[in-house]
Amino acid sequence: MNNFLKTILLVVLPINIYAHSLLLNIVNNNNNTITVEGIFNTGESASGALIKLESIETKETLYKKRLPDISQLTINIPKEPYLVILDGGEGHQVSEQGVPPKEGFLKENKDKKTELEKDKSRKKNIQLSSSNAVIVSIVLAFVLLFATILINIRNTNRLLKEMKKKK
Amino acid sequence: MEQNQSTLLKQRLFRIHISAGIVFSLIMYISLFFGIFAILLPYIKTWEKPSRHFETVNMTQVNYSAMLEEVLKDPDFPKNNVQINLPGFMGDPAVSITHRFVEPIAFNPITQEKLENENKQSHLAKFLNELHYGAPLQLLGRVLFGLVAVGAMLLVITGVILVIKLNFKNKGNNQQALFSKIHVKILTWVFPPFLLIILSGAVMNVGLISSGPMSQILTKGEAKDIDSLVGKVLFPRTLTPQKSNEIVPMLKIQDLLIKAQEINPQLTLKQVKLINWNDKTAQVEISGYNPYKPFLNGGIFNKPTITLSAYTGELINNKTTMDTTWSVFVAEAIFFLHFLFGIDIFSRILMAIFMASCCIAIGFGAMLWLEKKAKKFDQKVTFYHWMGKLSLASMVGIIPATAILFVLQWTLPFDLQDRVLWQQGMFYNTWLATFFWSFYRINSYQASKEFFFIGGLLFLITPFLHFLHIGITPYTLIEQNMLQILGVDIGLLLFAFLLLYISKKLPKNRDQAKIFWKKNHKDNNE
Amino acid sequence: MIIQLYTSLSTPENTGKKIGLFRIITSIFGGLLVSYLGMTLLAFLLPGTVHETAVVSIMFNTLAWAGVTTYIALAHTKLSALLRIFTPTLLFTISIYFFY
Repeated sequence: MNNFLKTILLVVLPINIYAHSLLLNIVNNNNNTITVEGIFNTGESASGALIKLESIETKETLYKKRLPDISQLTINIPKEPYLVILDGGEGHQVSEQGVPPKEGFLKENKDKKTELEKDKSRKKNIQLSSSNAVIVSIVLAFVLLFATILINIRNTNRLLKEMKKKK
Repeated sequence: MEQNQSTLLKQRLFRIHISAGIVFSLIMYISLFFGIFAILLPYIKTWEKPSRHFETVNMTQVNYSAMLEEVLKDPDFPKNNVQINLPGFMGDPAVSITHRFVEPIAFNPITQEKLENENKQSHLAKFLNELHYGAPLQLLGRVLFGLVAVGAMLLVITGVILVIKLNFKNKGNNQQALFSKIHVKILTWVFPPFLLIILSGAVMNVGLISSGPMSQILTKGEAKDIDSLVGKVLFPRTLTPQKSNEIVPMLKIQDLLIKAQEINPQLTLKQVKLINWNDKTAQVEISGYNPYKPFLNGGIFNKPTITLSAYTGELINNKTTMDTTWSVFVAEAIFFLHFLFGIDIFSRILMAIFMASCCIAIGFGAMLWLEKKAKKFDQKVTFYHWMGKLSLASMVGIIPATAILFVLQWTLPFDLQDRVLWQQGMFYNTWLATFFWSFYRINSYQASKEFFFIGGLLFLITPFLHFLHIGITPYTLIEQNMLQILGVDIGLLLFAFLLLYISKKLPKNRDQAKIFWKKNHKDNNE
Repeated sequence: MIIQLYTSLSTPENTGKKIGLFRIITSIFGGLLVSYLGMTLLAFLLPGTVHETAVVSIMFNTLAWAGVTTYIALAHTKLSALLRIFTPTLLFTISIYFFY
């Protein structure tokens, strides 16, 4: 990507919208372990931030620990595809796909995967639509907007008639 | 030719100011309106939570050890760089033990009990603050509000040039003249703090995200963003000692606070950071605000600190207000009026009054434009303009909508699921309802009287709902030294009376309005 | 055609009561460019390290944008509006290159 485009993207993308962004560095130690480091883009250490390894398939937390004072952790690589998440609280989460172990990840059961995915999306849909507050608010909002448009048309017609009468 | 040039210049100046005013005024007004509530955020934040209804104690008479032990018992809580927010910090009477990467845990410093931190059930003050900078619309909202701040600066610049070049006489016998006078007079006095505030607002919402290329150019490609460029200057890292891994007893935090007060009596202590706690190399970094040096400290960039050894009590470092670089002072001075961290209630109220008068001036600016449009339709047809209705809903309709937030704060049960969503949903729907009503009522004066009346009524019942829900009386609040909370109730009552008074006094229609504004204009001139 | 273009750009409008799309676009985007380059150059010129002086540039960038936009929009002719963009842009770019 040329420098001009990079410049435009730098201005437009929201990466810089928050001050002090968290950076996640992952180093493959080539012995089925990874070293994970958390640091701020100002160079400040992110010790105390939470490191989580989460299974991509099942969303299960495979590993969870806070970064010590040296801001680094050495972790065994899981046998299944995973995400490395650096959790610095709300609005400060960085994640990256984890590197596979030397012998590769265990082959997934595709049927089980699809079932789990379907289950997940069903749960998500239920979650969104079960919030009555959101449904009621949105329905009311649309009712009010349409009512406003209709009343605007009615009043405009009334005023046009008034204008014609005066002429 | 020179006269022609000068005429063209004045015409363009006026046109830019008017066009920019119409484009930016609504969002600017909304930002200012909620900004006034944001100024009073520390008090509203305490008022909105039942768990915070107790007196603010003297920070040096609190036993922090038990509370700290309970927090550090949790294996999931970070053990180093733990932060304690002292009682009274940001108006909160609780002791909050927190860390950069976790949610705070609040305690009652009198009973040492852990408090039910109603963060999930109560979000009123934060929501008002979020509305102030466009957060509900995420990135788009923040950028939009930032661009509006830039537009507002353009309005201030063109406005100042207009006042200098055109030498407004502020005389004239009609509504237009009065609206113009109010708009010009108020903003002529209040524009310096207003400019500083919108400047800092524009920097936060737009300036920071666009500073990538500048950072790259200035550091020859080294720094990719603003933090890497100025982070080391604005947020210098303090070197912390290596742990010796020798566990020793720590001195009491309250004793260390007393020592800190003796070292720098000018400082109002706010927070304590615990470094290497329980280790022989343990330190406490006590930060505060120096009220004798406003504009130079206390905000985000320049916090005076006193660092003491938590083992021996000896002074390690005393960073005073003036111990920093000139660029930090520049940044601090620009952001001071926007954040008002550490500042007392009287100064906050003064700033709130300044910003309220800016709101009024912007409102009259919009009314001036509408009056010019309305004059063209005089005697021909009733004035029914989209901008008039939109302004009515945005500038006046916002009052009953905000009032609903306060009423619902004490009518919705705290254990209601999605309580915050219900509250915010009702707020938006009330605002939309005022939008509908603005178009429904052809007579805008009547609609505004109704909005002021309903808003006033809702704000009036809020303190009573508050007393009913908590089961207290104003006398109890005074007796138990919860004056901050009582202050919010009194403030709401006063605001309610003001709104009801305006509702009563406002003219009923345009014909009456002509007499009303003319009469007021004459009274002012006499 | 160029002469026609030059003439239309250098002739002031009859009235200043309309700003026109040309001035709006050039003042907003031209103002952004000029102010951004100007504030970047300022960081080089002010005494101190760039890490310190950049604070001033970032803090006043948006105010400079508003000011320069006003300056360009108030130009007597369209040609002078364009010159108010291109001349400072050229100067600032050369200066920044010199300091880079």
